[in-house]
Amino acid sequence: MFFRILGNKNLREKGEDLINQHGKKVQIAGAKLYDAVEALSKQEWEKVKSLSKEIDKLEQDADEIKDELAEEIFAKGSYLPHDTELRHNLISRTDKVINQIDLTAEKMVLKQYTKKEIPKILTDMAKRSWECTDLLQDAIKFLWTDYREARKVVRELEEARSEAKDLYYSFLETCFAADTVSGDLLYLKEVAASLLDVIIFAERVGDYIKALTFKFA
Amino acid sequence: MTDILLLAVAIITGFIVAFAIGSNDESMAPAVGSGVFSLRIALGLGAGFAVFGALTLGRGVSEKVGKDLVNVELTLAMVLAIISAMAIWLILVSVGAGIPISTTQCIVGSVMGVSLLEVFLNPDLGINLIDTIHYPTLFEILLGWLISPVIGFIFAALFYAAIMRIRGHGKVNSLMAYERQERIAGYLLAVFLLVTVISRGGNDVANAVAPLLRISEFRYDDFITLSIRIEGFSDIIIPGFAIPLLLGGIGMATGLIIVGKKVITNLGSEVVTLTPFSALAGSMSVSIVLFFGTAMGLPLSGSHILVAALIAVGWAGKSPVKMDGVKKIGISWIITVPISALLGMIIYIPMKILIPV
Repeated sequence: MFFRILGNKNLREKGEDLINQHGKKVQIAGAKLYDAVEALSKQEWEKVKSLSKEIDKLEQDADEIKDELAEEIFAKGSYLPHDTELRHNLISRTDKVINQIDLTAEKMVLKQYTKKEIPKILTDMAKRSWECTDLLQDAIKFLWTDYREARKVVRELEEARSEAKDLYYSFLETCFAADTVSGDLLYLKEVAASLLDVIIFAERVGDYIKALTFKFA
Repeated sequence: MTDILLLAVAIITGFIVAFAIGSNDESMAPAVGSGVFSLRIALGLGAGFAVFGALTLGRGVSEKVGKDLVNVELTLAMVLAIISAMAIWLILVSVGAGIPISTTQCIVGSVMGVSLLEVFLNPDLGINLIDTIHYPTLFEILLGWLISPVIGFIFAALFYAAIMRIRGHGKVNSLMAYERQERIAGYLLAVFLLVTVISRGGNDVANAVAPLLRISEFRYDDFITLSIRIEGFSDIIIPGFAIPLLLGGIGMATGLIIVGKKVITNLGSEVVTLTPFSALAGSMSVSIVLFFGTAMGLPLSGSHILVAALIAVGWAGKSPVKMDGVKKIGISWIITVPISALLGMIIYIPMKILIPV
């Protein structure tokens, strides 16, 4: 009887599993975004479009997981109210990361990039954003099992964000140094800004996870 | 007044008083505020265990209904006026503001009001108006109201500190471990609250059905035979006292379900934000302070202790105390005695005419 009063253990476990699944979708989307930028640098336009579609599908899957969590787990009172609230906040913040990845991928196919090469800085930023989604997935996993490890991973995330910011600024310098503003330049600047936002959103989730490790200690 | 009419009045009044007491029962507030129970489950359990407490513990409780407070012999009309005034004020406060007030404060106010009016109206009693109140008892009760919140605050803060120490606050190394501790606190809280609800059911039912227990059919040593004849079974015999206790229990349960949710929700959320740990500390202090306070003969108020305890756990846990909610509760406590006295006087006049003896 008390299990029903204080929440159902099976539903709680399912909830944890769904949150981890959501984190995994974010991580896969991050990897695919890096692949898309790589494909762009190799002028593999069809691959860029196909990866963009895959990322969109991952974003939809993540939304379904989020809805399932809300309807099947949170709405059934599986957790105490503030435990539900922290999970809801965590999933909402993580969802913003995959939304931003999807947005970046959509922007990439808005215009066919015509130049033969893209600056290496951009692929470096895409790699950082993939690493950040990877680290984010680990941080979420460690939140349940080991605060110290979770904080360690969040520190790595912060460092990755700092590196990405430096890369972005040096890319901006390149843009500002250009004599003329072309559509291609605007395109690359927009993709770079979007990639930085992916990393910033991932870092915000990391900050939230870090705060939780102190609050619930 | 005929016997049957008197019986009907006593039954209706008893039920309404029990309903009023149930409507202002805040016992389950910590569980709802901390989310350990949903409101629906809290109401269901609270109602069920209140009936159980009334039936099992109600018989042994000898409620004085403020008898020692005044130097006047309380008549049935006076008792009915006193408990009716209490019921009206409890329901008004519960429905209107959803604030937990002390049943004892209501009774003290209405006993003083009714007694003063009786002495004023009946010079044959030979009692001076000033001598109506037994001041040492009044002083003792006032002292209880003053020390109840103080003791509740101190004990809750101490219990909170002890709980945080036991659970190794700051040393928990994963969310899974933290939530496991939370669940243990939740189970302990559930047990504490259910014991509190049972004992409260037993105590409060006496206030509600005191006039019914004066009626001969419902005395402890009488039995009532229910004339429901089923083939092969003998008559159903139930003890007389069980009927008023059951009536009181059902009345309290109904009041809790219909009106009590407002008081529970308000107290659970309007004073501080509760966690299972802080709710447990608050509830433990109420149960333990009330238990020892009663054993030592101290007139403590459960409502006062609980509110002070919730403020204490908020303060100790560095959770902001919502001062607007606290102010509202404080004001309602201050006005309860004079308003109950006034209501008692107003109700006593028709009661005295209807029940002259």
